[in-house]
Amino acid sequence: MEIKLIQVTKSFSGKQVIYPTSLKIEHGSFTTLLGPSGCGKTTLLRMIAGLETPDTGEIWFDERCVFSKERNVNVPPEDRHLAFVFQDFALWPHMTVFENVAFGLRARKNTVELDERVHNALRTVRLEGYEKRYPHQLSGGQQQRVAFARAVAVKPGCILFDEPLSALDALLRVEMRRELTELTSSMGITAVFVTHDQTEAMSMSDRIAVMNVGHVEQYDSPETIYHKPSSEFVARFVGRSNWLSETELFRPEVATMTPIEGALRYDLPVENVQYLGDTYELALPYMSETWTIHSGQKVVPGQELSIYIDPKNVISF
Amino acid sequence: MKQNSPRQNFPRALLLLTLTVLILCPLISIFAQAVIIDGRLDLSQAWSNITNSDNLQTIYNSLLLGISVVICSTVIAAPTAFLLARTHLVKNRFLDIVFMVPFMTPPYIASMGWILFMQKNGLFQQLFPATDSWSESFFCFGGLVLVMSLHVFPFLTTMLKNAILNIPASLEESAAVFGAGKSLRLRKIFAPLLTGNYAIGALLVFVKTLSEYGTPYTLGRRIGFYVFTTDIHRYSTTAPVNFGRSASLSSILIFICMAMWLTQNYITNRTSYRLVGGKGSRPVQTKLSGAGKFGAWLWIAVVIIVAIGIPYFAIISTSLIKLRGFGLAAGNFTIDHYKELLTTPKAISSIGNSFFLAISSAVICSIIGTAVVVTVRKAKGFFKKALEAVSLLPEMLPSIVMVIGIMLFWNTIYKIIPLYNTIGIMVLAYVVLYLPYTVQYVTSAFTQINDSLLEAGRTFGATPKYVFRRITLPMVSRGIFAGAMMIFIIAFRELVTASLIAPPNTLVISTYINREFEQGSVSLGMAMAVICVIITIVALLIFKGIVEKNKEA
Repeated sequence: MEIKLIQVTKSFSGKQVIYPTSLKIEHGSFTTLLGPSGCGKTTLLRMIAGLETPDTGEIWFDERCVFSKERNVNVPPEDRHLAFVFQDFALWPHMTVFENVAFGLRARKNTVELDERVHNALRTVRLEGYEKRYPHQLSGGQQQRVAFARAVAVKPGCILFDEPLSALDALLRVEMRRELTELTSSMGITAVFVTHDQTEAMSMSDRIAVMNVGHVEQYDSPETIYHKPSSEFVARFVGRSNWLSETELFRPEVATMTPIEGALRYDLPVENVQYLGDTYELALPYMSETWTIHSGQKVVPGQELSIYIDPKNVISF
Repeated sequence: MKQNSPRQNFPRALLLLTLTVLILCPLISIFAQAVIIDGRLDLSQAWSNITNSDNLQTIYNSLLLGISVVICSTVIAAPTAFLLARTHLVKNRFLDIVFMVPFMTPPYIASMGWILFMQKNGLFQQLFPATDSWSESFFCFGGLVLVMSLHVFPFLTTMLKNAILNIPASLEESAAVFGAGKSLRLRKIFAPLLTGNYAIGALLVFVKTLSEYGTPYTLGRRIGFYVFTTDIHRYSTTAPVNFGRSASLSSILIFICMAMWLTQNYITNRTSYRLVGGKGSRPVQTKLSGAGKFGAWLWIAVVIIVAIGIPYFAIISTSLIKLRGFGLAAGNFTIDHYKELLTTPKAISSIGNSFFLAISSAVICSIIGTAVVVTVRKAKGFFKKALEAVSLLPEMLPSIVMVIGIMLFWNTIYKIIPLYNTIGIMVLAYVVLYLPYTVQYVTSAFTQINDSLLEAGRTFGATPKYVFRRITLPMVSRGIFAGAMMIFIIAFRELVTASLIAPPNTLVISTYINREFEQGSVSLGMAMAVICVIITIVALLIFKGIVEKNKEA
């Protein structure tokens, strides 16, 4: 399902949280809305779901208009045929795992081969045999999977994810990242994913919309966003940036300690060294900034280093 | 694990012994009175006492009243709770306080207000003379149910409202996204999530109704509708006094109440879902149309007028009327009744007695109750369970039952401890009845103290005693004070204890009001009622101040 937002805006009690925003989410893609808290990413997602009503603009699912201020169209959430995975999972505590997963099918009176389809959904998330349990009898990761099975079971055109991994511990989070992307891509479901975690966004997405105070600052593939950020905000928010001047920067991994022809050279003292296992992370003061670069060899604080940067790796605005 | 040393066990045993004498012995006396007839254990006679047809009628009346009040208060409370939790009314915090007023009004005073309002030539007929022919039909079972429901509904409203507020928005939003329309969401998500809380609330309303004495006494007796509490009172005070029958009725009432509490406990354990949401628990609001908003305010206004407006209008206007024969007419108003009240020795002494009883029982309860909580927290096994259970017993049972038990027990040991028939026995009875308040408030204050705070005190070199004095006590002192304030409020207007075991010629506020209402100057009685309510409200505001500050801390 292709989702199109056209000039959508929203304000809460006089405060504008979404400035006019247009966005096209491609069919079958995994798209992430990335930004700091309060940037409006969750509001945008909830407007797609129909849980918030935009003040102006239009929202289209393929050829179907689900919201238009001008034409006075506003399809309620229950008729948008989407699935939503909530941050707190929102599993109904009074229903078993089976009933939670079956709810969307029953609600739409779509009960042909109900058992079969619920079991299939639970199988895809590897939770067979948990049908009779209640949500509180499951671990966080299992609850997360039930929430996902519930979304998959209704065969939606699109699944919306609202920071679904933030309630999980670090190890589980990494595991679930892979599971979620594998499942959505193998089923060809369009996914819209909201997060404030840039690693999550980079590792999972086909495209990322970086948002800042109600605007989409850049909408591109993760690689483009990393290597060609279109604004200072994007450069600072995604990846580590070492600033050469107010408008120029380079990423830590492009700096080397061996001379390259035509490279920029900087001689700087080492301020701090952190051993990360596979590499040493060095902090080097430059003007009023502190650069971060990586080194394969141990360096001691106070030592003077020569750093080389290929000018074509310098990002400038 | 270290064994408890005798030195630790001695104060525990002493405390348990005190509670046994105060609470358990009276209860045992009731059972003994019910089964020992003419000095012999006679179970068959006891059984026939219980199954006496008069008793069966009383039991039937009580249960019918309980169920009817549950239904009627649900009808009032459910829409009110929904409006207060889910609509624009949520912002009007003052409504929370307004809706506490009927619950804090002594039931006997509210019923007197209703009687004055609806009776022949009462205020209603004076205002609407055309209703003469039918308005007195208020004095029927339905009227009794209405008045009792108007007293307890705020309790149910608060419970339901908090339960609604605790449902995370995401649970209903997810149902919407997964295709459930409004009515399906209401049926499948909203209602099931509330049933547990509602069942608990309904059971408590039922127990409260069964235990209530004030309204059945003032209004129920007038229409010849007798229930447990009024019959127990009648058999214990009116000649021919029959303690056997009142004990057997009390025993049945004890069993019913205990069964209700067990059921309540069972439901709580089974249906307490952990409804906690992080960011997801944003408040849900139902947007109402203009007409909807008007309707919501209209409903709230009607409830407030009926639950507060009518009884208070009746009480206050009666207290200000010069000659009741002239009724509501310009020039027929006076504050003479208040002046008279403040110059009559009988009235002044009853206010003094109420103050004395309320303050002394609050202080004694605070001391014993805090000791119980501190001990329970340190003790393990038998002492912990026994102390906890016994100290909370009086709250689970109707006060009239506890008082009957106290009468029987202290009568029996009168030769050893001549406390019966003195004001001392009243203090003792009040302490027994209100001890659970201190225990509950102090326990909840303790749960706010993290153990690490006390451990931190120890690591910085303080002795356990020093830690208790400088850390524990200051932190629970608000809980103790809140409990004491609550006890003051309730003890100040207590009716059933005072009417059963006050020594001859000792009146308190409630019995004074009652006496004036029944056979003296009604206006004088109502003036006293107004004063009682004002003092209660002041105490309540102080209490609210403490609780609110507690939340901020």
